[in-house]
Amino acid sequence: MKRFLGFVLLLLTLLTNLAAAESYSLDAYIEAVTGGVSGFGLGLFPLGTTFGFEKYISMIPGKHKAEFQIELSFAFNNRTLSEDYDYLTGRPRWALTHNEAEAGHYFGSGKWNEGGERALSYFNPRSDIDIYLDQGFWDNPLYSKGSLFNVRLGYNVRYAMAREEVVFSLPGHGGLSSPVFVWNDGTPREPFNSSLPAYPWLNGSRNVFTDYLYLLLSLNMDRDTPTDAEPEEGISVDLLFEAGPSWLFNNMSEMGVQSDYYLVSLFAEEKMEIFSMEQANGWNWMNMYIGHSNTLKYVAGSVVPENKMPDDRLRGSLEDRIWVHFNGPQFMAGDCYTNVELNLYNTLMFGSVANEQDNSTRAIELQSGFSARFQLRLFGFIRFEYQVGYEFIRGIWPDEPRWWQNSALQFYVSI
Amino acid sequence: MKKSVAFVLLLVFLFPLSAIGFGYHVFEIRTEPEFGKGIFPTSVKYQFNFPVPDLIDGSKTEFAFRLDNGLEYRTLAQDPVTGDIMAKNPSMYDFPKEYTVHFDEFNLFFAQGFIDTGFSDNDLLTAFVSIDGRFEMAFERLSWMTGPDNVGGVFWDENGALRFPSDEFLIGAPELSDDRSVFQTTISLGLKIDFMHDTTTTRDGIRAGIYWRFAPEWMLLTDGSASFVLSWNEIQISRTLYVAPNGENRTWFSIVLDDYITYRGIIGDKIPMYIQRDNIWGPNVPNAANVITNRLALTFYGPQINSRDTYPSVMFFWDLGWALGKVMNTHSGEKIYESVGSYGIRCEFVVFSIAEFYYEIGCSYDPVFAEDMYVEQRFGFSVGI
Repeated sequence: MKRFLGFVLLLLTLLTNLAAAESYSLDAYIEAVTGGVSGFGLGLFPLGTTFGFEKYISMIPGKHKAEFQIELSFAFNNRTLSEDYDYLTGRPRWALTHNEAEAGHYFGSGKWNEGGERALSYFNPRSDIDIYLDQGFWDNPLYSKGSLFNVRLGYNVRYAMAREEVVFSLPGHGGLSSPVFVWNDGTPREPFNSSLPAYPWLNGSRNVFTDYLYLLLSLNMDRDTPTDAEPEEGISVDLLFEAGPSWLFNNMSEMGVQSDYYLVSLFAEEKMEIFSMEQANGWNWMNMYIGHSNTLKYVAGSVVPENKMPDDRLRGSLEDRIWVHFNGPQFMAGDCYTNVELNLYNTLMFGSVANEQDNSTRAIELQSGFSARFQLRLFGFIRFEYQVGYEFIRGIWPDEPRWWQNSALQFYVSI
Repeated sequence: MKKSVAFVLLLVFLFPLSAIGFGYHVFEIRTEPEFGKGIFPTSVKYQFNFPVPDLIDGSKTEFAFRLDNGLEYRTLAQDPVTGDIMAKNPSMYDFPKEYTVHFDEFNLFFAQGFIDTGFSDNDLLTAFVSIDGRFEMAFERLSWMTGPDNVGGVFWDENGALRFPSDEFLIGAPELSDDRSVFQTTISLGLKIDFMHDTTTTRDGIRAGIYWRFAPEWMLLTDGSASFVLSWNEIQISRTLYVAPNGENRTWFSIVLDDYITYRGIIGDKIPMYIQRDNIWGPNVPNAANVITNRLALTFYGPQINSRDTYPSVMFFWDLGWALGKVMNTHSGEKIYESVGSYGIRCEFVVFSIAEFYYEIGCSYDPVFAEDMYVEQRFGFSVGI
């Protein structure tokens, strides 16, 4: 309770200090409404929302105004337990022989279905609060109202639950005869009756509270694009540091430490307009730009929380992406348009395995793929999307190269 | 599937009226104590404004799309099978009554103001109409099945058996019938009067509103799980008893007296829980054809710290409610004349109108039917108010 109050006081201190900076009220915005899923309102209704409050304030005379922002989000949908990591040791299945894996402890195998059919998916209500202060310096050469260099200091706190699937409480149990986490008498079911170092978010009561501080340094030499319908051009570089150590209120629950990690990420992106044709009213007929980006990322620390877990749990990654983007004509309204994007990406993942207890497994892998995406956006509310892709190098996964595709009609907001 | 396509097409055909771009604002952010100790948001109501010109010079015209979505807790008040009010016989219903509802509601909303008062963002009179749609799915509370003490829920008992049948219409809680999912469409219209000088820490004047919501079973796209006509009427009268100004826009200290009275009338035979709202601290006013509530509150506001929306306050309130006439959602035709009452204190510190510390303690001195009198206190912090 004391630590909880400490957290609240920290938050209030931040807010009160900002109140002292300038008398103001905050403007609200809606960032995104997440898409629905089938089974909930025919898939048309949102399962979560991201929204916030922002204000620009003068912190340093003669410099750009600083941006203060509080962003809130929540989402209530399902997640799936991974079958790929030993829940006692964190050892990845791909690092073991078949016999070794058979003797391991993996969700979905071994004793998993003893006592009744048992799903791998669970209900994961979660919410984030993100607060930051962003100060810009000098002028962006391609956008005079923007700044060339930005320093952002922020704090993020997350609360998440792991619960039985919603369908379990519906008539007929949704086809499940037994819950994932507990027996029908409410006692925890194996392996959730002991600690799970590889899955700290599934320990004990499965109520997870994690937070981290972050510092983002950005170099911006790119053009302002009020909507996604304009061609993009310019260069930007981001250097991000995140720290979610255990002493930062990450050991408040009886479940022990739920986060103890550090992350550094370097991102560079270059975009160039190829052509652009405008309508008489300033809307686009058609435009095209090409882009290239690299992201180098590394996650360190003894306990990496769920929302910071790197792909394939390998701590390091270097991604290279090249893409071509076509925008079709804006019609009826400024936020009605189509676009097509072709992507080629290569990701090199390397290093040790996060949350592995003895830190003994090391690997390096390359994943390469191509994807094409078509979007029809209508009025900032509705998005039809079709994607097709081909994964031709699968890294540590022994599967054959494969084609994939998906399409979605989503109720979606991005302003 | 045909209905979903029709619904999307309806939206698509409506949106071209919007011209270019949207304005937007957030109305309300809510939390639930069982989710992150009430700190983190669980639902939000917000609006996208279509940029339409004012039809009457000097008066506001509003055309908007409202969304209210998220997760909230509800308390079962009537026996789903018979419609009997549970509080009349608490020993018969000795089980947890809270459950979770995941909901989404949209309103395509048009409002026209008349007569600019000059001192308020709102016109003296505002008429509005909206087309509404609501999807809901109900399930057990979030703490259900998290340990041996949390096995019993509203829908499932401790032995894993359903408390109420799942294959028949539940008259006491129509939206909990079958798979506990509903999609309902309604039409609303109303009239608001606003003659309130409101500066957050001072209020003088009157606000009133009349609001009707129609949910006939023949409405387009509805699944027929609702059938009601709601009349919601409210009057708020406020008077600043004392104020110590701090410049033109802020105050050091003020005392405000508010009285807020509502009358809710309902007819119909399938009345969902979300429409049965009341404004009483503590006991639920029973779901009768006529419900009247009144809150008398005396609020002491401390200094506004650097901005108008950062301040402490202490409120003393006295709530009364009456349920009069036929009990709804039941075959019995029973009529009741029941009163409830509570009083209490609420202390809060508001930061920028988006974060608050609060403590409240109240006494339900006139609980509903056979419930015992009780005192309850709450302490918390929430982001988004």
